[in-house]
Amino acid sequence: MTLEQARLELDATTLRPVDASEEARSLARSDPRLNAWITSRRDFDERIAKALAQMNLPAGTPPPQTSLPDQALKLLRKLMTRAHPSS
Amino acid sequence: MHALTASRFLEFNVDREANTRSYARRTPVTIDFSQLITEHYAGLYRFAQSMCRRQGLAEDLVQQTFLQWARKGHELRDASKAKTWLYTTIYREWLAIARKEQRNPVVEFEPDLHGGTDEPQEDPQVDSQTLQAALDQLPENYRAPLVLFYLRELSYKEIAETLGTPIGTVMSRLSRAKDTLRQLLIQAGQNS
Repeated sequence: MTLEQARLELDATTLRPVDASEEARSLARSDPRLNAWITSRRDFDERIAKALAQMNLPAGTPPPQTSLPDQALKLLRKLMTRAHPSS
Repeated sequence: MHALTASRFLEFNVDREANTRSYARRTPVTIDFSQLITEHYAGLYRFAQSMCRRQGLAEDLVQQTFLQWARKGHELRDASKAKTWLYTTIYREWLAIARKEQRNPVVEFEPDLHGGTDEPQEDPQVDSQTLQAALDQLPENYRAPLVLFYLRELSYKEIAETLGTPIGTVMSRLSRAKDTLRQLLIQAGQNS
């Protein structure tokens, strides 16, 4: 693996470091410039991901890991009616 | 707020016995539909909104995706692929609409047109509005992997699978798109 290949792989895994190969991580550890670059990149990516997560959602969107609000139930009913029109 | 209980499911006129037989035949694991919506609605909506830039259409795309799941989700054999299936489906739904409208032609990205790829020293300020405006300036074949990446839902390999793009292409597009996004955010900061 070249440094450029490692850079691309590490860049694609800044938010999910576990997805990076050991070879790429090892190269980053042994190359201070690459290590500094990927650290800076991760900081930037974390801020973008946070901003994206703050993007407005339509009213009634179910928050993760909670029970369903009324609007989602209505959506479900509508979907099921359309999926099984004859029943 | 209501938990989706078995009795509530009766309201949907679902042939539960047929579904159970179908799942038993075709999939080793039953995926709870309501949980699927709860877990993935927000991510799918943000992806759709970033791609189509219209709230109403984004909602329709998400709804259409779950409708597709209601119709075909039972055919999925590997439950761990449900998330990728949903993102692949919503991406295809959007592509079909975009092609029909011919409003989002696929444009090959030219990084030189976006200020090169040198890492800037400044740290751009970012909020969700500024981010959306910057994302809107990226061509869709760069915006799609970038938004999927920032949603944190999929690995880069799953993003490649979702978009039907080679892994190497996704990696290089992600890298270039991040460079460009950073430049756009810096410019937005200087102009405000």
